[in-house]
Amino acid sequence: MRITRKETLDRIANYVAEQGYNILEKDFSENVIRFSNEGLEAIVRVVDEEANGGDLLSIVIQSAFDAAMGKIAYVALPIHLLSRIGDHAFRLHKIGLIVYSDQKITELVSGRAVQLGETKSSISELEKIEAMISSLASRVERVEESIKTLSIVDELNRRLENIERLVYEKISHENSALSKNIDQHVVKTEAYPEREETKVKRRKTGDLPSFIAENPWVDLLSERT
Amino acid sequence: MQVLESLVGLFEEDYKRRFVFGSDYGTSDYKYGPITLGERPTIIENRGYFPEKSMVSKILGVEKDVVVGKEVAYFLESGADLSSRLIYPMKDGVIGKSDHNAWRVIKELTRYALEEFRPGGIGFKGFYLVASLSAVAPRYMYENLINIYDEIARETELIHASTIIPQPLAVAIAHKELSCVVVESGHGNTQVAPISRAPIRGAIVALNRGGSEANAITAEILKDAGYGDLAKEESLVRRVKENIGLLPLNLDEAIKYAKHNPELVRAVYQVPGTRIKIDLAEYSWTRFLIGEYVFDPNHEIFQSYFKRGMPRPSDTRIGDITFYGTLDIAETIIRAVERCPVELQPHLYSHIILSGGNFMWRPISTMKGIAVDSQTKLQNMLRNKGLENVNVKLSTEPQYAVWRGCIVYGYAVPTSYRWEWEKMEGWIYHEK
Repeated sequence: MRITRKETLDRIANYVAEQGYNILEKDFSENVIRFSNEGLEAIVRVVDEEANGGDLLSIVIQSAFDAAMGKIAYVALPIHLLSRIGDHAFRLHKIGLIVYSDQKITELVSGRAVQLGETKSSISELEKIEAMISSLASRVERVEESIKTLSIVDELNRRLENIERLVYEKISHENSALSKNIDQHVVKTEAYPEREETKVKRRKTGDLPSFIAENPWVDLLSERT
Repeated sequence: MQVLESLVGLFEEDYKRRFVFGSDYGTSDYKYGPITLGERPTIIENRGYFPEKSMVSKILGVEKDVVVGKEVAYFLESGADLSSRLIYPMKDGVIGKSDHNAWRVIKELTRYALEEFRPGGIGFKGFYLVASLSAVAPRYMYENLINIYDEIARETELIHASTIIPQPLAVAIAHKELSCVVVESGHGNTQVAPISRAPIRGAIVALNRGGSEANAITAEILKDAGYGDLAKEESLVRRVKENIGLLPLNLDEAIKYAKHNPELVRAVYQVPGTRIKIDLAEYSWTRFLIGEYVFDPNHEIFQSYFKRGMPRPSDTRIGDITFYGTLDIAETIIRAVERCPVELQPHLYSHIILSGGNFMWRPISTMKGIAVDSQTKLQNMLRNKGLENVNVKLSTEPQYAVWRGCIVYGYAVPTSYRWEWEKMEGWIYHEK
């Protein structure tokens, strides 16, 4: 026996009521059930057994809009449609999902209010919130910009200190080599020993992980040419 | 001029101190992260989920064709068929050449990992990325991975240069051993790789035996003890193996000991959070079979299991490498070492590193000399084959060793050392 649209809506409304919620309205023309959940308004939009792609699309968009308005949004789907569209998108966007068949109704994904705190359904409230968000966004942007500038200065400072350290180390190393030569009164045709071309000199390993410190592979691998 | 050259070298080191990135593609987990992470990498599961494409997903902005990392959890409860959509790309360290979905997951995981550590500020020109693959990975895996890195470098500018090293080399580097034998035992196979300042590729010997074989015999033991229904659940079988499995020093003596001391050997395992209690009772002596089977499946006692349908590990071939089915581990090590120069062999025997979860057998203090750890067992097996100066050690924190080896390699190898296919070493620079 074919189940009518009204019967489906009634069954889903009963299911919602059995979960302890207060049904506010059953709108047969829109195929919508409104109920309240801890003071927040929730809307279940029911997709018919015979719904086509366009109908489904329209209901999902309306539910997404409901959620954006701070309401708890639900979509009720016939179970055969679930295998076609999956439920992950609903989970990600906190849109509730109820599936129904002739025998059973199940809440697969719980609907949740989207971040806006208490529901303020009027457009003016929404506009106010939007303006606040936009003002906050621009302030955050300015803070980010300042942090970025600071981090560039820090980075340049760090590099400058590094260069100074390296130059001083190098100069002091070569000075000591030179004074050693003078002390020994050895006349050499080459002032400095020839530098190994690509070898990276390992210096302080203090800030490196322990598995690098005193690892014989470091010297061995650094000689790869 | 010399000062300038020196400075260039030091700048190179300074860059690498910040931007070397390790990438270890394990069978179950992907371990990754830059040198700045310190001692341990970040770990996520080596898997990707291919969401069902639907109109609704598109409208709601879920347009990714593959999802990796923590987000995968959002999709796991979906009504879709998990087994076909949830892909674990590595099968015993190898990915099929034309397994497009698996390669897609590898690309997405790598991109995800690099993005997670994208640095801010100035001066970043891309990471020096060091990846590690199984010692038995065929050449096409290197080629595919390099192509993936090329694409990621173009798309994200996060890779400056990359290189790929075999996992046993990374383990040896992490353990600071220049000449050693690395025995890596994973879920499906075991590789023995001698190393002397580089992997000795011609000496690698592999076994077609790993943790899954130990699981198989645990399942048979459960069936014999009357828990046939539980033997079907793979994860439970693995937990039983880990909790009641023992490694005997000598199987015959261990069985004799168990028969004389049934209460001391009795195995009872309560599955946490459930009412399930597994008591092997008079079959408790079979605990010793679990560890023995990993090290040596040739004892006659295993014949009865083979006759009753447990698959016997068989010889198989992947690429150029033969994976032996029933060779014992000591014999496998000897075969690998004997492919190396004679002069080197004593050094190799004196530094054997066991790596991988398959070697985590706990000795029991009340069964001293009966139930032992992997080092003692292998040392004993090698001694019985006439080798005296053998030193076996178990990798500490084996799950991090490969990543650590990658970091050391990336830090130490000079940037001027370019990739050569003959040597399978060096840096590959990527165009952005």
